[in-house]
Amino acid sequence: MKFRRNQRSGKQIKPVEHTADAGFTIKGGNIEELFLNALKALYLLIRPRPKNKKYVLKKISLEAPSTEELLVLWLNEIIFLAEQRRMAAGDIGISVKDKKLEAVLRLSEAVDGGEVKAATYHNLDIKKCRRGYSTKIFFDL
Amino acid sequence: MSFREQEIKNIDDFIWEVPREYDSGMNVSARFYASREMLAQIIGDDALKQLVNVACLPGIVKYALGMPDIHWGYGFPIGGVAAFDSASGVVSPGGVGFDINCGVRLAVTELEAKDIKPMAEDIVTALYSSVPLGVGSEGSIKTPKDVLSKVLSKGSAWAVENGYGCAEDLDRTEERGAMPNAIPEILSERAYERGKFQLGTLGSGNHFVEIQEVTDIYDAGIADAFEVFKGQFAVMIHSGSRGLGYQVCDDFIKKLSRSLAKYDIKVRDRQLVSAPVSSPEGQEYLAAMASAANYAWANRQILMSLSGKAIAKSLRLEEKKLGLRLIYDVAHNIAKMETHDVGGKKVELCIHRKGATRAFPAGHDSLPQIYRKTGQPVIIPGSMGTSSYLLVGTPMSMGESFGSVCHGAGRMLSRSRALQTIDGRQLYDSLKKRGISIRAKGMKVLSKEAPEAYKDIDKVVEVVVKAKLANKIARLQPIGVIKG
Repeated sequence: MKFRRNQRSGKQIKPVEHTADAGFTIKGGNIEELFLNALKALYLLIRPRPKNKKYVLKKISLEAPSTEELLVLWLNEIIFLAEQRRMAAGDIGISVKDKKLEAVLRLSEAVDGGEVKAATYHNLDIKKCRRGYSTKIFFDL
Repeated sequence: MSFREQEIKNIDDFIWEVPREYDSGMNVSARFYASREMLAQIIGDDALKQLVNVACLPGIVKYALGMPDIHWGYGFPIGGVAAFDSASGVVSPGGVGFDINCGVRLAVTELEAKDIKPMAEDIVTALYSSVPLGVGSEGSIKTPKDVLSKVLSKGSAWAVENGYGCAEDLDRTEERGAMPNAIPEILSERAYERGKFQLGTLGSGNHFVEIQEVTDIYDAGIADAFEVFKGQFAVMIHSGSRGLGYQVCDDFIKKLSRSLAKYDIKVRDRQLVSAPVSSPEGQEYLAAMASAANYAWANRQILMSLSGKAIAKSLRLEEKKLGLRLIYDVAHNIAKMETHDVGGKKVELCIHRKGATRAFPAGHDSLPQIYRKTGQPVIIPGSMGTSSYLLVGTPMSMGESFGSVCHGAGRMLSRSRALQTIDGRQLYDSLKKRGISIRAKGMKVLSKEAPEAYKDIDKVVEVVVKAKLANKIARLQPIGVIKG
């Protein structure tokens, strides 16, 4: 598991117009990158502003019957950390294999700029493509 | 997928239908209420595709229904109503949504709006500092698990017992502010954790507290019975079950996903996961949902009390002289067991209202004595800066829409498009010029919730009135609003 800096990913995250909520088309060179980019899309909505440079490490282990559900679990975990613990992830180490996710997050205290109720399963379908993986993901605002 | 107009059948001036034959998976037709003028906008997004998906669910009765505020949601469309047979039908957490019992309440005062308008800025400032609001806002009411468990069982009554409002408010709340089938023990630890500090908080997005003036009376008799008069100063509150409700929905979407195969239920969108109403999984969801709904009713009861105190203080009045009195509190994201007449027979149905409001007519035995002769007050909030309406249900709504109408104006523009096209500062200034005071957490909130992002509430209400689903009683105009 390698730590990756949580930076914006340009063309890998494209907003999808949605009347009531917010959606994105997410791409990733591999499944881990797809999960990381989905988190970055989520942070475009939550807009966390770190309060200071202090951080704690948090380990997350998740398991689901499908990779789609695993993605929703992952994003809802991040929403919970933002809303309830007021923490945002900086660097992230992540491994996704056999519908299991292991991640270590460098969490800092943060103030959120926007509320996201949940990641949804609406039109969620992770596809293998020529350059890795892609999916659409919609969030309830 | 957008529909072509030719694929839509025109039933009458305000009713349109995607016929059952459109798709072999449909168990019933998908019917929606709209004027011809609204049609292009409705068929332009994915709302009708979602309504068709709902029409494919097992045990659906009569139609999958869309109200004139229908728009693209996730799973169910927003502005949707679906009734499922209690024996052969399903219940779907996605048919209620994450914000379980998001709803709205209208309270009136003894005061005239003209007398308070000069103090509107002070009132809005007082509300903004007294009502906890914004992203992940926490209130001053801390509810450890044993207390929270009582809130989840008792709903509004818990709030009244703890000094927020009065017993009369309970009669003026749908379900008297508590669904009896709640089982708080079913909720996950995480749901409890998310609910612990958020009781008595408004939240963010389109939730608001608005001070208003009753500007038009359409039915003097019923308005009189409601003690609503022209020029009256009123307060409207829109909020829901906060993080606790979101967690319940999330937990049960996961849980019900696991039982799809067990009951051989096929869904076209994972967000529509369902279980038979009569199954242990279905009953468990309904009990958890009822608990979250009760939390939402307690929340709005507390918000009304906090608002009343803030307004009285800013006007240097005793609360008693303000005379804040609840007209009604309605849920617009909920699933409930109700008895309806289907083909001449009384049938027990699980009615899902996702962005839709119950609108029972006069004489309905679910209504409290105070509203038995008038019909249930139906509160339809407008978007920021536009009218809101007080309606009553009609007998026609029972036969046509399972006693349901719209829940608001309905979004038309995505938040990102609204942000790109509407300048929050300009909007703030223009509303101020119109005499509307606003406090919000930033100008971006104003852009996203601008009136231009929503359908025209007057036209939406006109459709439900012309379709004879409800009658207009009064119209209210905003004087000031706070948003999270």
